[in-house]
Amino acid sequence: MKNRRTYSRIHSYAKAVFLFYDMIGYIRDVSETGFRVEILAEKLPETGKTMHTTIIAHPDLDIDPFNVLAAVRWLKRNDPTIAVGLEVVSFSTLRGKELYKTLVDIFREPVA
Amino acid sequence: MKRYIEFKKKKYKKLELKIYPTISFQFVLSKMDLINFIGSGIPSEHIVYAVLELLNNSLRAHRKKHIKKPISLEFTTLSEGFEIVIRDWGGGFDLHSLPYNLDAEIDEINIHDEKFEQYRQENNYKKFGLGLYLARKTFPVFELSFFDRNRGRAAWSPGNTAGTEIRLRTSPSEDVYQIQADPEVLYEKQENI
Repeated sequence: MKNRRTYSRIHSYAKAVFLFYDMIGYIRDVSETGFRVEILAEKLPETGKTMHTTIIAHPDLDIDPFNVLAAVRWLKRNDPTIAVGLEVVSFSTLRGKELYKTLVDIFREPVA
Repeated sequence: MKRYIEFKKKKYKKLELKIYPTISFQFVLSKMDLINFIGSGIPSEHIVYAVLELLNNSLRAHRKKHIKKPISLEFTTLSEGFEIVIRDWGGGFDLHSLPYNLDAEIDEINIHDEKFEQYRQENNYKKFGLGLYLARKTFPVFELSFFDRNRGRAAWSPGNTAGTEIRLRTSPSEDVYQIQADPEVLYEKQENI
């Protein structure tokens, strides 16, 4: 099947906390427009729903936690977790937008 | 069924990585990304990320205590799956510091209860308290033990415990270390990271 993605997904690592939803997860890939989170949850988020998310990068990356509003685009059972594809809708601050770009850039660059 | 560890596009029965605590996490991730467990019932990505969570704990302990020894990560192909052993020299830890009972049945642990939430808040969400839980969820066999300076098994005791060993298996089978010879599969690879 042809890959129609405009932005390629990059394997990455970060933590995600979905504010107000009692959900946490691990970000496993990111792109300029969205990210995939593997969540551990009993209740599933609905497709199309927007979620206030705090992204917490690995301490080695020296990136402060930041908030992003993201929309659920797809869900897939991926035992023992549930994979959730999220599209970035907006950032609460310009700083958050910059930090997200930094996160994507860090994982895109090959590590020497 | 063909079963082997793929690393940097080569096939191995056994792979051992020595991970030095000074190395950056991105570098560790980039190396771990090159590992595939061919013939595993558990997707390689789940194995790699569950191991990364445990490795994070080990790296944190080594760095906090300024321990320069490497963390050992061994992957072995078994007749029914794979075995993974993580061994660090971080001094072990108090099992009571976890927000749950590690010996409890996995389905009885509620990762959204107050203890977990309190644990996360106390650690500013930098620690979820889920590394060991995720490993238990992912692998049918999970064994955690502590060892002393002579590498002998011992209960955790502050100041006396040298490190932690975690043994994981992708299959509950006891029948191990006997796989059919495959001339394409190399025996062993060791790499320092």
